[in-house]
Amino acid sequence: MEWALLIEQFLNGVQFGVLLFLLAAGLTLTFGIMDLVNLAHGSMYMLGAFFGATIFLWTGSFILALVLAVPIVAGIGIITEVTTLRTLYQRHHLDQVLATFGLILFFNELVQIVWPLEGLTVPVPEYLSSTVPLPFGIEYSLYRLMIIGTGILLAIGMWLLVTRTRLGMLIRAGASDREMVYALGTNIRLLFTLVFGLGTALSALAGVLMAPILGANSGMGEQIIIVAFVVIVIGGIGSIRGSFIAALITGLIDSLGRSFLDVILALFIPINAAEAAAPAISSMLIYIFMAGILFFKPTGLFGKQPN
Amino acid sequence: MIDWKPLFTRRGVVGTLVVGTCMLVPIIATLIDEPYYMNLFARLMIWAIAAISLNLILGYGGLISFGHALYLGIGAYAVGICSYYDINNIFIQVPIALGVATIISFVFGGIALRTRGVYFIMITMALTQMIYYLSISIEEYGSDDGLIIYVRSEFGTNIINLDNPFHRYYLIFLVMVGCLYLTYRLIHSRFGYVIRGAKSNELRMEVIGHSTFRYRLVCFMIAGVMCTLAGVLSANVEKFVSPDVMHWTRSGELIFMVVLGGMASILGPLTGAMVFWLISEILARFTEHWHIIFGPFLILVVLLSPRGIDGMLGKRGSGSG
Amino acid sequence: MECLVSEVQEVAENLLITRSLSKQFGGVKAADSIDIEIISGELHALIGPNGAGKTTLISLITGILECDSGEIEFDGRKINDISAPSRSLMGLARSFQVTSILKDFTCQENVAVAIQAHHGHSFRFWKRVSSEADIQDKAVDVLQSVGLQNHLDTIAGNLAYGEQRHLEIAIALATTPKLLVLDEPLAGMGRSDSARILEFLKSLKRKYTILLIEHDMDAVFALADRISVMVYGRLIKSDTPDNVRKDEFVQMAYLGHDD
Repeated sequence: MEWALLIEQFLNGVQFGVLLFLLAAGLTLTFGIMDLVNLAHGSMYMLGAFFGATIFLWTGSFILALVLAVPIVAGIGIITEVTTLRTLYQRHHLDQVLATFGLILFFNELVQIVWPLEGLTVPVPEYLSSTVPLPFGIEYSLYRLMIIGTGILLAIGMWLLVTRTRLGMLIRAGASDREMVYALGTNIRLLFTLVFGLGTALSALAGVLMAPILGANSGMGEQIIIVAFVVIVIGGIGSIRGSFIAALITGLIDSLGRSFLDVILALFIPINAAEAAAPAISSMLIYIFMAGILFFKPTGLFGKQPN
Repeated sequence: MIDWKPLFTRRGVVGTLVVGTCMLVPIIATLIDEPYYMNLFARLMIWAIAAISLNLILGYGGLISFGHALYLGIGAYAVGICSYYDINNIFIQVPIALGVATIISFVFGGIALRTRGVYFIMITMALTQMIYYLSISIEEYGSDDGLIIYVRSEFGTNIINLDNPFHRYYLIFLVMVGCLYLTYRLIHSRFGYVIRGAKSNELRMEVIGHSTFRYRLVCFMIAGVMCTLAGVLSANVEKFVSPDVMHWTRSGELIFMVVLGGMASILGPLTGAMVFWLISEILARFTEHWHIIFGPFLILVVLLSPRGIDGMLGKRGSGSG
Repeated sequence: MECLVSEVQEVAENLLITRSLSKQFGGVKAADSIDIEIISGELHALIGPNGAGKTTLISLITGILECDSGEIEFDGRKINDISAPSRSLMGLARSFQVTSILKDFTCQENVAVAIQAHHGHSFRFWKRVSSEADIQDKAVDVLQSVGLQNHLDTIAGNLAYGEQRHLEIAIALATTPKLLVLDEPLAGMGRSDSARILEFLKSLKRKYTILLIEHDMDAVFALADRISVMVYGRLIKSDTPDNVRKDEFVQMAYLGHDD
């Protein structure tokens, strides 16, 4: 019985980790290449959820929701990049933080005007709503397995893109040495816009995928974006590999911590105290983990060391 | 001999106006029978105290702390939790609040200051978020519903009674003026020069013999403790505290107030807080969705006026307030 | 002054010694097993082509970079594990090749904040620095010595380039160093400014032990008591100007280009 719960929570952790990776990949790229701190990245996730849910509700087709919502939100992202963010690349981080904070306020309010105040809820598409039998008598949600699969496929895709293509070469060059990208003489503006669009698309995709589980709400972006920040800080800013590993670790710590911390704590302290303390501590676990990593490696697991 | 000249510069006139307004609001509000304004300005000054404290590390120290609202939460919760256990004496509440703030700012500062740049921004944000979730997860103290404070802090004397709105108002005013004066002294002291020098050129400061880390850590702690006072006052105005007070958007708003008023100017955070509240009050009258205008306004301020209101008042020399 | 010189030469104690000091960046050996000795009281020049590792070496010495291996001894103490600020307090001062001043401070504040570091701790939160007479008087003296007495209240960022270079040296001097490390003080200067700095360097000679990096060979050979030559991260020669001039290997590796 304990094993069944463990495996189930492990899968939940992986699923959360995969979701975090989809968000963190875009964040870490925009920072690594453009030196942009984009707080509004979570807004794209939120917009993905809203557009995905709306299209799904209108057409009844989840595939159509994916196919339409992702490009729409990527388009919104690119418009934002061209109108606002582009002017911020050379600016101080403080300006970037504030301006993208302004964007968050704007987008949060926008969805409250366009969509119902309480947000949207959508069902899991019917053909994915069944469960899959796993060892130890576990019945695990097919939809969640699909998210895990999609996330891992995308991670492999990102890895191929970064290691095997010309765009990827520019991305790697940019992440390790920003001046070099300028020196390469490619169309920087286009490269930046492309990378930004790519990051936005991943984020929007995450939003569409999560809509049947979490629904679509104003403000849902910020909750997750801070965890995504934790992920890229742990992984090392600019490192795709780092953010993938950190995303999985973070997902697992969070999910396993929430279900098993009381059991683990009970080994050391009385069971009553353990049960009382566990919820509080488990909500802080990933932050404690991050603080621990940064204490020993101030630039994260795979971040480049400053000279 | 007091030098009155600085008062008659543009910056001096604006400063006098801003502080003078804060001082006179209760009288005017009573005369026109609009007690609402007194409460509004009391809140505004609490935000100003928080922004003044943030200005120490952000404006003078050049460190982008995106978690400063944490200390508002510590101050407010210290009062809330004390009062939950029937401890209403302010001379017990405040030392507890400041003690907790000192320890937490020491630990968090010690971790965060080891990092640089974006890492610093994100880790300060994440550490505050951690305490935010902690406060949500403790049901004893109301989780996300918050904690109602039934009794305001007591001084144990009738000379100061926080249930009296005038006493409350002028206590806040005095604390704010005290914080302004403290900032003024700090930035002209040895300590202030090290903090400002480290912002300007950290490597240079290290090479001439200043271990910047420990000075920054102390600065981080002073700012945290000062902001905790704002939290204590806030609990006494609202008679309520909830995790919301340290939500990360609060920290963002504090940063905006500092930037809006003008970083590294003594009165900047106060003018910033005032303009911030003025604009949000006005916008909120037009539409409940005022953020849809406020967001782009914030972006415009960042893009067009990076030095804030203080910057519009003309160039300043080094070391001037 | 003469008497001091003879004394120095008699005792000839080493103020700074490095032993097999090494530092790599990626695969590049920026400092390759460097042994250098700086004798108390001398003006020691460090020359070498661009990229030879001169700035790396002094960054290792002043504690801005951490060495990979080797040992640094200053004033009779091993200082490998001592931080840059503490090395400054022990009497190591440096100027930078790329001007590194506090651009939004006045000249006097720039110098005063350096003096302040060496006058007790700075955990003083209340008293104005500007009212600490001993610090301010000394700051004025130092600025006077570099000829910036008319710019006490000028914001450093608004100074002319040549004046900023003077201020750069003044900041280093303000820490009353035992060893003054100057990284290309003449870099980017016009002829008249160069001449002024050169005169000034002459006046510093014998008052301080100086390690000088400089590209202007006339200046180096005129000023230095001893010269060390670095090429590709290695120290290939450390000797008197005459012997260095004569050395064939040095000529081939470096000086040859001048003729």
